[in-house]
Amino acid sequence: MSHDPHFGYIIAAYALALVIVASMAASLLADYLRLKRALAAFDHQEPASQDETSSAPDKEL
Amino acid sequence: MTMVSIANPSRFLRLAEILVPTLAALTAVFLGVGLYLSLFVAPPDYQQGETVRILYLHVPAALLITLIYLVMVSAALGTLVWRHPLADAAQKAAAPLGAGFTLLCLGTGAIWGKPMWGTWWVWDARVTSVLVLFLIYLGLVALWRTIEDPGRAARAAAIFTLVGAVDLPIIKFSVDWWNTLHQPASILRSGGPTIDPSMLGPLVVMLIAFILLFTTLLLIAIRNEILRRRLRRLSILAADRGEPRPVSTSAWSAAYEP
Repeated sequence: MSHDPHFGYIIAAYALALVIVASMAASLLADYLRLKRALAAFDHQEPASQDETSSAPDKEL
Repeated sequence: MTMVSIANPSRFLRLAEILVPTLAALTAVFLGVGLYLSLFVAPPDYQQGETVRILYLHVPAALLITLIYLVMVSAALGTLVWRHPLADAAQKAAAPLGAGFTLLCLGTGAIWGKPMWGTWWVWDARVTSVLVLFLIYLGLVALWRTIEDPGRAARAAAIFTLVGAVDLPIIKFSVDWWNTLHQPASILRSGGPTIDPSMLGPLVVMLIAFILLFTTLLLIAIRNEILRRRLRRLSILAADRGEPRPVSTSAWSAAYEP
């Protein structure tokens, strides 16, 4: 495959896919960690709010 | 377990704790096998040569972006008909993922097109209708970011999603309705696939891998959205009680940034 005249295009396509998928996954995981930290800060300051985070009404998420 | 019980946000969070690592592991397995088959086992095409290997990314991405939009249409109906907040979260979570996979589809198509068609881009009906889908996904992301109230944003996005669904049959049948440079359907067609089994196998494995990847990312994104709304609600309750901001500026913005 590496001797193919279009080998560079194949590498470019797979590299593009890697960049896009890795960017989506990384941004979602970073967002998740940021939200968990923020919620933990709330719990740390006000333990009573623990109930609200764990049993919020279904209609309000 | 019924769909209604899964749709309870608290139960969804507990379920996601189990499903996300399981689906991530399955994605890794299917992606690993699919990439091996695509790059090392599948034969070169008699006309395209080795360049056909780009299509093991392009075709699954092309099929997936339609599937993602159908998921969003279902979520939009969930918002408008049942007014379920988890449907709102699913809509919002799926839009950027749809944009990402559509960019992958268009990008790999352009990279394949240069050596095969002699150009990166043509205003062909299929290619253009997929570009329109990309713009619809971006429009939905922008809409969610523009309207601050999540309920209003969800209803507006749901209507936009349903209107945008008109692009799906155009994408599917564009190669039949118009004389396009893009080749006609070779997998999802009434007479069955026209691709040789030695190439169809890796394509199917890659398609399953892409679907698993999207499902994993969607679950993470929905979980994030549920946590964001809870954080927002806690912030509002704290503000109503006249308490100082309990968290840092970055965490405060996490609650409000779409």
